[in-house]
Amino acid sequence: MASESDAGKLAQNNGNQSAFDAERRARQQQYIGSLIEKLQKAREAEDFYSARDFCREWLEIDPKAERAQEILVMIETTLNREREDRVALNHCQDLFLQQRYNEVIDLLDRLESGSPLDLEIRALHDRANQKIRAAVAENAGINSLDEISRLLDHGHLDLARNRLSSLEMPEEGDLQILRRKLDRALEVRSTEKSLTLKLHNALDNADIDSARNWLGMICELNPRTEIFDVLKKSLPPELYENLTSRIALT
Amino acid sequence: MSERRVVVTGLGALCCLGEGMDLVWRRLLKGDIGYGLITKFDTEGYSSKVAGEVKDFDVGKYLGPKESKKTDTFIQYAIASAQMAMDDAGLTGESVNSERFGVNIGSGIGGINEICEQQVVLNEKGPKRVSPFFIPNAIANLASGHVSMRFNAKGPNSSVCTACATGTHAIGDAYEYIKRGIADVMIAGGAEASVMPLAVAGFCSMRALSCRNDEPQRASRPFDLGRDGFVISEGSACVILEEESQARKRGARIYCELLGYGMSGDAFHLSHPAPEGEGAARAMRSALERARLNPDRIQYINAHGTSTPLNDKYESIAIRNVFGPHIDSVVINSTKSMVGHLLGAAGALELAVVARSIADNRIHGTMNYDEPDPDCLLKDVAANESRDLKIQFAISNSFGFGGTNACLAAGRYSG
Repeated sequence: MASESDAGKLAQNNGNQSAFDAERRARQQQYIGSLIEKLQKAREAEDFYSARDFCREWLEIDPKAERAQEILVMIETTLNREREDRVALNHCQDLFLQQRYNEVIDLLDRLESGSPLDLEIRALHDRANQKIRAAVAENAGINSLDEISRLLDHGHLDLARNRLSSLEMPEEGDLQILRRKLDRALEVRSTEKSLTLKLHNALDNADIDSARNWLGMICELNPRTEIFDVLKKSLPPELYENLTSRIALT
Repeated sequence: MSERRVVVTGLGALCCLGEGMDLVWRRLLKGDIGYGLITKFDTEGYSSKVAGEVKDFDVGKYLGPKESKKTDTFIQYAIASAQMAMDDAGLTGESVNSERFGVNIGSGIGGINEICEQQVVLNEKGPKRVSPFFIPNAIANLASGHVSMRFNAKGPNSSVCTACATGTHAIGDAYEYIKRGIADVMIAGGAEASVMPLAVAGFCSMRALSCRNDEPQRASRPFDLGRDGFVISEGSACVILEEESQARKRGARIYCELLGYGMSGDAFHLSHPAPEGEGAARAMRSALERARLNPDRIQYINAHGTSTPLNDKYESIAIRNVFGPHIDSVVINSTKSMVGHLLGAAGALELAVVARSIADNRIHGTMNYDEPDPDCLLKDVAANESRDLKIQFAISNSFGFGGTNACLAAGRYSG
């Protein structure tokens, strides 16, 4: 049977034990407090890996902490989502490198919004969209160049010039060639106009030799000149015949 | 009277890298990984399926058939490593004054295989069929008991059971016995045979083990960002500690001198290290103080380095707190990166590694170190390869569940 002094010692020991337990629990709680603080900061900064580590530490100390368990589930859900989205994003990046931009857009559109990789997803989406727009613009440009070339061939120089100046394409390649062609055609037209004026002046002064000379130069400058039609309609047949008989028509 | 000094003169090891310290050391320097998928039992349903198993162990080299039947595996491992250490030291039971010759071999779990087997016998066949050798096989101090009988060691006979710090505590306590004049020669170390269903299931439930089952040889990755737990292993390691003048007199080969031993308790939590690793730091400081070494004299730390998220983080913090800026010129490695965690035998194997490192001026690498963890701010962890390193002084850390911490300081023997 325990003596009174034994009972006293037991009570004292129990008292000490309670004090030690209380002190240890206080240290643990204090430490859990610091973990929760770090956990919150990590979640705010969307640093979910650090957040998960802090949460696991919290659970290591207090495995029954329900709040920690709930937060851990949320974090792991986010991280799982991130892992899945990362796989999809990597696949999209491969497709992007293969220039399969429409597939990239389709796949990225299928990733639900609110992904932890939102920023990266949006950036790739934008880049793929840009590439698609550029390709459309390039195609449109190519079509326009063909049309301008046709206009030039038919002598619709002003129309061709307007179309050319409305194109938003870099000044290189086919466009550059076309612009040179247009400049040359405009120069020819301007010279032809000036020669035609001189031709008409000579005809007004009945200076047939000079008129014939100007007409020859016009033909040389522009073999497809329409001046003959104009002269035929406006001059008497004998004069027209006299003027053009010695011009080599090609 | 001058202070007694303690030197290490023999090393014995048995683990997943093989049998004998020479072989284990060679393979550590090569960067071989000893652990892999568990073959000893069906791991269906286990979250971790990786372990460092002792394979091709021929118990017949050390024990007769009758003796081997009467001993649990952890005792067999202890006898084997003790015999190897004695052979390495060039000692026999007869060559030592038996009353000044002691044994201190610990075990973290003891004879868990025997406990499980006899529980089945009890359940199925009743109490009278439980083996009379059950208790002697199960209790942890029987490794020391068997080894003392084998070598007629009649001096101090003790056993430590401090979880993962067991091996280090056992060697540290043995060091104290010699230092205080209680013994002249000690066989000290640890033994563990815990790659078995119940132990693995228990550690799995604690979520302490790596679940990297798809790449088993990359499962133990101390201080790496991708670490997810330790790899459970088994085996044994023993060292021979001798009083220095006696070792010198008999012309023993001296691997290194044991200079200090530090211990501490966290009094914080069952498994979570104390905040800032303050308990671990106190153990390291205590060992350095006992060795009369300033932290800036240390070139090498064999870390506890388990590959669990918490241990490596808090050990790193503790190391930084003890060593300050000098830590950037210290090399830290983890033997567990290649052999896994031998629990009660880990500290003993790691002290044997420190002894070889000092003697050979060479350290092994910390394998599977791919991506530094910003929580483990250690500049040089000998990432993935061994190298030459002139070592004057080194420490070896071990920390265990229950908040038990131990550290040994060793140095080049200078006569």
